[in-house]
Amino acid sequence: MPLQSEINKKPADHPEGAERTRSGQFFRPNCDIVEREDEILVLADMPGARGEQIDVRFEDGMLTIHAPVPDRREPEAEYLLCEYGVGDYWRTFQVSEAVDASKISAEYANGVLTLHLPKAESVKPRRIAVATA
Amino acid sequence: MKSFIPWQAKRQEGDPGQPAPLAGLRHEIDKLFDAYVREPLEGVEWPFGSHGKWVPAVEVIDSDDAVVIRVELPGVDPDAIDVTATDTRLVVSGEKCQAPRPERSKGCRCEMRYGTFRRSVALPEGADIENIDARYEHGILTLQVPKQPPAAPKVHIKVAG
Repeated sequence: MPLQSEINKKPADHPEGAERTRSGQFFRPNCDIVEREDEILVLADMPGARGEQIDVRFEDGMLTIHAPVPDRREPEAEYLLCEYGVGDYWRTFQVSEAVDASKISAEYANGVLTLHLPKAESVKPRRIAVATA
Repeated sequence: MKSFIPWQAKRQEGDPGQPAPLAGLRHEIDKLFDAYVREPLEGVEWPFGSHGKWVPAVEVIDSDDAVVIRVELPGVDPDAIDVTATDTRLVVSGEKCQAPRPERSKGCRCEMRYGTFRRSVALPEGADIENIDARYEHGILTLQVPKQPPAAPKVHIKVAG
């Protein structure tokens, strides 16, 4: 049985310099990353998120997942046990593998986000000619 | 697969391929603890009410008319969740399968937990176990246990001293 601290959601740092538009904590979702022949598969555990509100961006080789989670906590409720935090999910990956950004697809079911990042058809190495005097 | 690295990890730890010495030490201690304490005791009911390959997080909210229990179960088939209740205890068990991902063993980064899980939560007096409402939505199981109001109001007792 793994340590409880490994199971709990880990707080995530918000990007430096970014303005916080709402209060609350960010969590780093646990992810599985699988490389297949034609794609990279990313699975992220994000219980409580709403599929239509998940924001996935791919820019300059940076993959960003952000999912707002509505706060369902009642301030006056009496908690007998409170093991998990409620807050937005946020995580960033750097992808240096050539990925066809236009064909990235995502689906969300049962609290798990599945991202398909298809590899680019051809990764052409750029040759730089060295001029000799 | 080295080409796919978490951005934060890279910035904080330097080379992601080399674990920090301190993290390595912690990992070693965890491994020793698993080998000598957890594995021989597997099958023993843990005092905090969990037993299984992974431990889903639980939230229990008590109010006058109901107890609400929420369990985070992302990626678990709702049909594979088993909820049983006795007068004093509610047990949620099941299994998170990795069947659709047979190639997972080759993956470079595995943070999710798979396998069986079991958690039990103590129910307060007056819980109506016949009318428990269970719902699975967005990876969270919500159990609503109605409660009979207590027969006698709460009495405050002064402590002399």
